[in-house]
Amino acid sequence: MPGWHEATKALRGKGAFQTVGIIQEQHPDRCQLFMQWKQLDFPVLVDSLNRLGVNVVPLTIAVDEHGIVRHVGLSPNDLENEFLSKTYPSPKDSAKADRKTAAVLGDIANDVNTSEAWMNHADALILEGGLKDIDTAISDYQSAIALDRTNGPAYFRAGVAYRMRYDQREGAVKDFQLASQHWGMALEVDPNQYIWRRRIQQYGPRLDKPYPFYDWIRDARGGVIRRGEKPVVLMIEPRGTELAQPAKEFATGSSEIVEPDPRRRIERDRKMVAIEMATVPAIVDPDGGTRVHMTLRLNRAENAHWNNETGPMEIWISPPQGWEADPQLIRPKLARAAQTSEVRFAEFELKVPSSARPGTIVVPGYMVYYVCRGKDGACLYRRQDFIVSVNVR
Amino acid sequence: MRVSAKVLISTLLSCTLVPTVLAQTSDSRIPQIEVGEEFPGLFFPSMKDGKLTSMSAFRGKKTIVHVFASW
Repeated sequence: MPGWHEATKALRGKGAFQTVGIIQEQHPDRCQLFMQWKQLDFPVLVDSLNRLGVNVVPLTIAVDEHGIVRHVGLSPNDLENEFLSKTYPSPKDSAKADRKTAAVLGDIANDVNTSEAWMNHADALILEGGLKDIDTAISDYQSAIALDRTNGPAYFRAGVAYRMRYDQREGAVKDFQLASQHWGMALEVDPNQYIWRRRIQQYGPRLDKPYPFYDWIRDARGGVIRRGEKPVVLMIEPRGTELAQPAKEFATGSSEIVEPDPRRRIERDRKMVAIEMATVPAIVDPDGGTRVHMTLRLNRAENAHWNNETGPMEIWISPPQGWEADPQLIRPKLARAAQTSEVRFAEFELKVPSSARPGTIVVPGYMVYYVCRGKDGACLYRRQDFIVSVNVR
Repeated sequence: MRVSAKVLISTLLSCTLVPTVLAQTSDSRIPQIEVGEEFPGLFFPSMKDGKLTSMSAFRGKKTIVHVFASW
């Protein structure tokens, strides 16, 4: 798209047309940073829910002065001859769009009780209230799905809503996994929907990645700072697989790694740290891979916090026979301060053997870490065991 | 002969009814972007200030709409 914009600079300079963007990302502020970096300053509308239904980006659409679509997929070379130089008649009926409020759409949904009506209500709740009404929106998407199991858009949008809640509300347990499951179910309905597929690939294993999604952010920040500007602050920092390069092969574990507690001697922690798991994709084919996302939250009721100066946090995965983990030993980067209380994240990938049978396979693992109770309280070295449930198709 | 002409005409007609855009989800609940028709009247939050805006707010001047993502 920046190439298109640049190629038509002269015509734009003459004021021959205006530009509007409609973005298809989960996190719109990342696109805001991209535009700041590329010095693109046209108005942008946010379509994280993919209500426009496009299944490909970038897509350039020419709309005449009366609001009528004239070209879909216009090339910059055709802009002048095929669009700007043409005269389009004013249509007889050109009423401006009227927006139905969530309250009105809620009444309609209660009245007609169709899958589409519940989805429309959920969309409006998210548009108007964002996180405030997200619980009702999610339950309305579920109503839409229950009424029509082929409503692909409802599955996808429910996934977007679950991920929003995971990002923005602490303790939204299981929401990331639910997002992954719903995006997967949307894709089962329409495997050709590439915007939906991209949402899974954004968080999925490197083998399935078309490209790194957000590795440009570092360059963008550098470029913006060099111009003497302040980069747009991101609400959710991209991490792990969102920054990773695609891989051609699954990496097998290095022989140099050492298991932290093979004899199971470290005392167990049962309440200081809560672990949440999400697998992307949620259902994996034999011979395929899934990316496991771990979210580690401290128990606030115990006033728990991390100790970062004693040693590393280590996460060890023990894949079953025939399975592979990459990496098998994970050491999340610790904060610089001696004691902190942030949410920690860790990611790894699991490769499923081609002989795997359908069903749920349990992959065990554990983590060891330094955690402290209370302000200036005792810091302890603790172990916590966990399992990752992987659904094989 | 007449019959086959009719068949031919109806085939041609049904071809012209094939959506001009294949860049959208095939779902009746999705408003179609079609050449010769109004751009769908959906409202979206503006990235700048969150204000709900539809494409009809940009009428009065020829407009290029880029549907895109930063990745």
